[in-house]
Amino acid sequence: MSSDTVPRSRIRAAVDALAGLARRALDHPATRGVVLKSLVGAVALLTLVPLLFLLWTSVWTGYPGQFDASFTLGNVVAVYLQGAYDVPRLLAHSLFVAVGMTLVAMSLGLTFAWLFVRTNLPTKGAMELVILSPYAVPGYISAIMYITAYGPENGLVSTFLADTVGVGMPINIYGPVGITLVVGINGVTAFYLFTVPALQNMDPALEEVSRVHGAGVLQTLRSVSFPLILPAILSGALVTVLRGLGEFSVVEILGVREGFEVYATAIWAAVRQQAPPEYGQSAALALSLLLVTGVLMWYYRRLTSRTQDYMTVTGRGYQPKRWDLGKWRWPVAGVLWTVLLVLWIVPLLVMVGVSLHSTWLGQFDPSSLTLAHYAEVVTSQRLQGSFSNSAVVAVSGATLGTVLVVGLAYYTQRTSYRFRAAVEFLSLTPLAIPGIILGTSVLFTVLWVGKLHQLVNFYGTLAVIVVGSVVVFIPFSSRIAIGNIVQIHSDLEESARVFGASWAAQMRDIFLPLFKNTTAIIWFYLLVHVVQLLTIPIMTYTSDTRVIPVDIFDIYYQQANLELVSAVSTIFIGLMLSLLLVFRLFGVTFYDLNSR
Amino acid sequence: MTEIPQLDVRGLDKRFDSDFAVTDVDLRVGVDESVALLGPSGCGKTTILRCIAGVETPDDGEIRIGDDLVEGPGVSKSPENRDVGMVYQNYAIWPHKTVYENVVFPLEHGDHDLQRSEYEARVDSVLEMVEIADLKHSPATDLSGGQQQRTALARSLVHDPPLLLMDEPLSNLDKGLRRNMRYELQRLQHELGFSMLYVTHNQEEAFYLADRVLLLRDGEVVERGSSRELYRRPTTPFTREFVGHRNRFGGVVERSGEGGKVIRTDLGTIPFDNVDYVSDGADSGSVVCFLPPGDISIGQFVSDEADTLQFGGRVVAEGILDQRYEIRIRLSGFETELTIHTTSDHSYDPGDEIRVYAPPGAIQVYGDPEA
Repeated sequence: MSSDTVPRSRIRAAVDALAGLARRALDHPATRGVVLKSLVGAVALLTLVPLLFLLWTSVWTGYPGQFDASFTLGNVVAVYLQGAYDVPRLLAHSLFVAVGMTLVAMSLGLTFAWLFVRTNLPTKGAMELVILSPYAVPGYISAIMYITAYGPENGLVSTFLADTVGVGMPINIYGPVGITLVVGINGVTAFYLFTVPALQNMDPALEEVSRVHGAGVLQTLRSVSFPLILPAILSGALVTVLRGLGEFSVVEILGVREGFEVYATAIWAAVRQQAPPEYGQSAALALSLLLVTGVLMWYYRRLTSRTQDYMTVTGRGYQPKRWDLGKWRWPVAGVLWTVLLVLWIVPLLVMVGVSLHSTWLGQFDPSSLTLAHYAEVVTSQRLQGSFSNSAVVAVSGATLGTVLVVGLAYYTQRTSYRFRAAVEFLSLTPLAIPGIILGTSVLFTVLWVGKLHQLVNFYGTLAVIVVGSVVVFIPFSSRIAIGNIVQIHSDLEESARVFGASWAAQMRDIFLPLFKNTTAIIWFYLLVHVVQLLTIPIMTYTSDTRVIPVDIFDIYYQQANLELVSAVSTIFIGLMLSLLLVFRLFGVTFYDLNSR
Repeated sequence: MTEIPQLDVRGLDKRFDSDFAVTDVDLRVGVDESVALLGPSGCGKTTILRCIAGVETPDDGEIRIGDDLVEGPGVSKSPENRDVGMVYQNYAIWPHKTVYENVVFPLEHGDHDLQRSEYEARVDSVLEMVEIADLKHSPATDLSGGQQQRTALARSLVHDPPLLLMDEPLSNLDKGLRRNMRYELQRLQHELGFSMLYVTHNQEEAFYLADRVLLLRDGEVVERGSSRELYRRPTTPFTREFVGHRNRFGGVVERSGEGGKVIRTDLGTIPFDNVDYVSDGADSGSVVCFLPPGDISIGQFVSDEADTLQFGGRVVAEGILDQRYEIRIRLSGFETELTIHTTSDHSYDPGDEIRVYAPPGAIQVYGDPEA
């Protein structure tokens, strides 16, 4: 007995001593600086270093990681002067997709947002659920959904139209216009979420006073309502254009048939589809797109800093008032439901239907119904590996990202350290780096760094995918963090310090408990988005680090197995939806449906 | 003949989710008259104003602006067809426009006789009037609270509307500015001549600016009358309590030994005939009494006349307030506390015992509404 208790008490003493040491270290006055500065340093490293390696690779004669080579302008000359790539055409295509996407997303998103927030449209709650559901549907799956519903050969609607009316689809989804439409429809949710807060926060008195002083409904909309939300619309449009310029998965899946190429697909093909890969030229090609996105990004920054002005004059304590659509209520709702049906509901249902057919021939065939594809998904060794890889990437990415982003937000909003404005700007830069280019840059970085020493060779690990994915979502998750941190009055923290708490104790007892909900929201936001991300893994995966998005892309792209990919996609969407449902049960929503 | 009032509201009802916000309100504003709707927050006064402006639809009742029926059975004109001016509590200045663009708006959209070429001169003169001519081209986001208020006022007056609706226009201003704007508003109303309906919870504003005051409680008009009448001698204890910061204390009407009636209070027993008895109806049982703080004097009254009420108390708080010295005393032997205002030079500390006296005629007595 006694011989047993002695070491145990010693262990306890040792543990206590260590804990005391840790506590003293945490309570040290320098802790705050060390913790925050290293977190911000990590963000800076993760966003900027890959770009440096991209730049290096573009002016290097060798492969990434090949040190015995020399600087050259050969890649740049080959790409831009000797016509290794048709740069003007790529640029034109990318701009076409980006601008078209923005127009589609803006017109639909804005219409829905205004009708939902500011009118008494019936059934808008259910409609909003449909609008928000693409949160669970990544772009590459939506492309597959559209193929099953509207594809010219085997699309359900296409064959139905051909059989009954004798006409084909008016729009070819494999062509530029079709691709742009699908990309644009995928942008509706984000645009909707961008404009809803602006519409909600607008003081209705601003509109009322216009009516009282003689302006009619349309005049009020034109000269008061619209100008007031214009900054939100513009920044939403810019973000959508940036997204459109980097769009990869939908363009590649739909456009490969007719050889429609954009920047992102060309860069991907140069690195992953060619043997040997065109590392140097793809890097040189990426630079010109980065120039375009950089300029847009600069403009976006200017725009969003100016919108602050508009916030200062809004009123408080008002009663939200909605416009009465009167006798148009139900007809408008009917039109909207038709749009929702055509754009979201039918494609999803058809894809689920396809996954249940042994062979899909363009129409429902009861004799062909089977669960064989689901059985294949469940039993496939490879897919099981991918599912578990995806889970690892999502959870660790969400955790890493949350820590970085909360630290960054705290640094910019709560300290007087230097470079706060620069850090805030830095947190937005990934917006200007299209996913495929970031993936390429991360790949190059890993190849270069891996050659330094075996210990830092991360090539072929999930860590690469995790880190790259986190960077992609830093801009939006840091917006959430910064937006919420300013809601917590800094007096609460300062008084804790005045009453004798160290910074670490203050963080633990005051700030983090108050910030708990936001932290949870950021974590779930990252989880849901990282797990769906294709661009980073598609550039960096190896046979050991396949994730589900890569598999879905491959099953369609390499094997053209529409039924199997439908089954995987259905399972994936099912998982996403149940994840969102679980979050909701825990009280976490990215967006509060009941706030109106 | 009776003149057509500028605003005529009859039987106005408004429910929110089956709760009555406004019940059966009648109200008239004559030409060039200024009327205040006074009441505690949540009493429905803003709702009445919004119904008149047309940004809220009443459930029942009629509203006429001039000889124009704007709300009634089967009629509900939209706000832009009612030809009124309005100032919101938070001013509702459009942040994306300059001062000029804000103010010219009613000219561009509303009803008036001006040509487009005359707009600028008109805006200039209105800005001159509210003394912000130098801010003409400032963006609205640069304005201070008082400047926003002046801009809102200019915007509501620029098209010379016959009726001006004001929703607590001064409540967001600091005290000095509020006093200034009160003078300004009265001056403007006299210079320009418009009818004004003024919503406020601040009695000073109401009695200063309005020719007539309507007192509201829980969506119903409790009392109405000229400002002077309502301030001096309201007919209900609710109004008396709300208006004029008086000392309130309870009392009981009893038969005295000589056969007359007396009121027994914590201040002493007062012959019933000596007080200012307001309520008609029963003159027995419990009553509520109101005594202005300025009618209580400090010291010992020289002669021991019966119609002067003398009592003592202990000082519980004191201090200088506005132009006078305020003392709060607790009556000896009672829980009742009274406030005393004096302009003469006194200085006491909490705990001091003092003697005071007051004329019973200054006490207004009402039947106890809760009895």
